[in-house]
Amino acid sequence: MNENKPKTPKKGAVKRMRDHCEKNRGKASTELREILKTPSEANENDKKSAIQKIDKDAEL
Amino acid sequence: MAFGGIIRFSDILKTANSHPEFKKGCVVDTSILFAASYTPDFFNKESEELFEYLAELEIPLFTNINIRSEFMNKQRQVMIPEGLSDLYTSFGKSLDVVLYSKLQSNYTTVSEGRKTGKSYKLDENQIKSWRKLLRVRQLKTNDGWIQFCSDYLKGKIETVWDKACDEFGINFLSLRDDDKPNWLTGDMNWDGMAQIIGQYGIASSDAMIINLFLNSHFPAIITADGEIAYVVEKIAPLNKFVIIPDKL
Repeated sequence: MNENKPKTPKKGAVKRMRDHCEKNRGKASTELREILKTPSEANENDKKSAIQKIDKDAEL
Repeated sequence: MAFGGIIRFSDILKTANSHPEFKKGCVVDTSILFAASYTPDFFNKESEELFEYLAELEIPLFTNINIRSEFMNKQRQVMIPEGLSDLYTSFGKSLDVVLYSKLQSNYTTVSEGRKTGKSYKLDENQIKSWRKLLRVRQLKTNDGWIQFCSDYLKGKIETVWDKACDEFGINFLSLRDDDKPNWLTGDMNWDGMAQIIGQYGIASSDAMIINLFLNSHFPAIITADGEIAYVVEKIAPLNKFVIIPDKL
């Protein structure tokens, strides 16, 4: 809080705030549509490792 | 009405007129800011009336980082199911049966919430489940969850808090040393928060808000959260109030 007079609520604030929230809603993009139409193939547990995989045969 | 304790929204005009210290300001909790911002919510109507009173009486409102963080999280919890609901109506039928049926179920629940006047918020486990479902759908380097967030959250969730601060006249309480004397009665320590958790078994975020209120100069906290109201009523000294909706 600074030494200036603190702000107070504005009249009609709730209506304007709710209008903002309504207008602020997103819309699906064509990119999302294309992605979601792509069949899922990755296994959720199949995380990629940042460590390079060692070819054990090559070490022998 | 006893001095100290609970004040209902319908009594706020009378109380503010008889207690000029209310002009110093009140701490406002997440539940009220959310109810004033988002429809549907059980306390929509009462929060709207409350803010008109506060504007009329020129009572400043104060929040801290916990309240801001909770507010953003509640917005996230409603914006995700709304986005999923929009997905369903936009092109749900063109998607595979697993995704379609889950989107349909989400749409039904969101629609029911609108009919009954209650907000539908996803919990963390539900959000994780949707994240897993969408992110396994990938195209090139992009996955479904990242794109969903880009379409429905990014650039939007950030504006909600700024707009709330502007419209509701929210003043942010910082913990900077040079600001503290303006609103803090003494040194606020973590032990106070821990004691509140130990005594009443409430969540740490709620305990932090109550601890802040108890150590502030402000005479009242405004909340629609029954847990906070209960603890403040039990713990607060006689010169502190908790202001709650009549319906709580």
